[in-house]
Amino acid sequence: MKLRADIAKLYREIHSWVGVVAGLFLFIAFYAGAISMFEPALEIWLTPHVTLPPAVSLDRTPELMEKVFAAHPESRKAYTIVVSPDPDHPARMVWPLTASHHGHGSQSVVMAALDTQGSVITTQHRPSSVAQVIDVLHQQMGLPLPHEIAMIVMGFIVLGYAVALVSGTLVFLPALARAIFAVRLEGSVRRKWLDLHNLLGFCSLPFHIVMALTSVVFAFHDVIFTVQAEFLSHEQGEVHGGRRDERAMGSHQQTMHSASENRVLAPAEIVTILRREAPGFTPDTLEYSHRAGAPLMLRIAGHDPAHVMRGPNSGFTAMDPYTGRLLWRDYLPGYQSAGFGALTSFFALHFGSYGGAPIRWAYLVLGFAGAFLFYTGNRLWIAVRRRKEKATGIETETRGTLFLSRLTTGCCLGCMTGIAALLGGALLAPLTLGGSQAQFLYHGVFWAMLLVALAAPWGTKLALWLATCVHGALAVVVLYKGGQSDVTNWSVAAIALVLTLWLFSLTRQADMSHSATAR
Amino acid sequence: MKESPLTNKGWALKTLAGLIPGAALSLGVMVLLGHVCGSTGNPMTLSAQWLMWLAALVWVVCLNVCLLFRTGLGAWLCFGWLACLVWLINTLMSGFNAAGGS
Repeated sequence: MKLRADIAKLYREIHSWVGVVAGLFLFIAFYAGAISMFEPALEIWLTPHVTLPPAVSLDRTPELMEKVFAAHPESRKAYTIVVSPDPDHPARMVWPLTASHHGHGSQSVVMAALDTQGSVITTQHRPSSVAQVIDVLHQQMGLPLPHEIAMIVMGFIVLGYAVALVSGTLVFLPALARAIFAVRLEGSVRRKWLDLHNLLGFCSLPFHIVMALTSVVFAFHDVIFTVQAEFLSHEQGEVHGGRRDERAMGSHQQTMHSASENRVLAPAEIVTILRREAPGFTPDTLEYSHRAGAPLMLRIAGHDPAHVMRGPNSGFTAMDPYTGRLLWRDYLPGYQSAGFGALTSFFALHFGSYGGAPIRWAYLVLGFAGAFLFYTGNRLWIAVRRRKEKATGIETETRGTLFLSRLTTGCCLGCMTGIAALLGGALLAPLTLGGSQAQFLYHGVFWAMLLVALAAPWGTKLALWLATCVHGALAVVVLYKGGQSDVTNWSVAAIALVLTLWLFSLTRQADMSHSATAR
Repeated sequence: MKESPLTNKGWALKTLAGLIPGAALSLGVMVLLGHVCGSTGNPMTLSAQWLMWLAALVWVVCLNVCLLFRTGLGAWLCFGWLACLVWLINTLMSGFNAAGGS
């Protein structure tokens, strides 16, 4: 494959400039995204366990529901039945603590159980917000802006990412075929970064294509659907207002239940029907919602390890809670049409919600590798500029090169250290670190590290030492606070230790290069 | 006559051409195909979701192609003309649909 010389040069320039502008945002997105692969596990790990009497059996759940409805009438509006309670989700029935909850992540809930005398016992469950804050950092690329604005800004950065991806592939593909695994760690700095960048980029190319296109969709889907609604909708008002899946469920149900004289099926009956209608699909939660004047609606979230899932952790279906008829199979794993199945696979490829734990670990590695790809890209850009500057006879670095070099170090270390501080903070003070405090802690650490790195020639080295210490402290805190047989605990401790050692080796390298330049 | 090599001169105008008329073009193509396949624009339907992905893909392609124009003005004229054409067809098609439906 041969690209015209002028087009290759043009795309090479575009790749460099777009990459350098978008690279640092993408570093944050990939680093936080890699950690978000284990958001539910982290949330459980960081949330203090609640004690409740053992959950009632599924057959006795109607009794629990009746007693809860009598004692807490507000729960009728929206409540969830947990199909298989476990130590991490100990209650059979939960309902939201407050009505307002938007976006991803768990919300604070009231959990209910029956004691030995058959009386209702409730307790509040407030999940740690730290895992969710890391997810938001991923979605917003660390931009401290209101969510809607941040998502649009993120969209434009991702468009740049897509351009950098296409241009990078076009420019480097012909050369890659010759020298893909030739990583020359000895010799010039520029060549080392170039080889590492090419190898990482080539090996994770399909992953990056999926991430770029899905992220453009995540950023702009509301705008695009608004245009569709405006120009394609023949029934005005059809697509406005309410959550989409609720609209789909409502449109099916309203025609069937003008009067809700029928008996609502018991959860055990629903699970039996699901087993018959959708074998292989394991229901996790039965989510009921009851709006004034509308029939009761039931959305079922569950999983099927053999199929891709629409959400990060679940697939969904809707059932008529009076007749047990499945109303909507478009997002039901294993029972989707080919078209919806293909669309679901795009989402699953972004979320890594297929193949279970091995894929999640693979995505963690790919996410970290992606972050490192952007870091190597920036380092390469700096090395090339330094070489050009030396060739033109400039002895010291120009202000621009120096600024970008320090910015790259500060931004990457700031993101890593901020997240480490969040995890450590959540372990040390689980009850005081709410959502806004967690945001404040992350951004405080991030901007402090950035300022330190930008401040002076010794700033980079100080930032490296600080990052090493914080990661080391995180490892100690995890080992000290944990020590249980929790896999998450040991995984976080191991990753924190590896990062500590890696950062420590970087500080040594920085020391050596500093003394070499001093001589 | 040998053409002069392509350069990144006027990159800002070219990029804006990919962003603005490029967006109009990709949304226009989406609506056009929506008319052709009879999509209702309801986000829960299969056609609407595929069309949404298509619009994103076309926009990304526009952004990659816009830099291959010789001048920024050329990029604006090309994408702008195509976008106008597509939206003109869309207007005509929705007019026909409305006339057919009434």
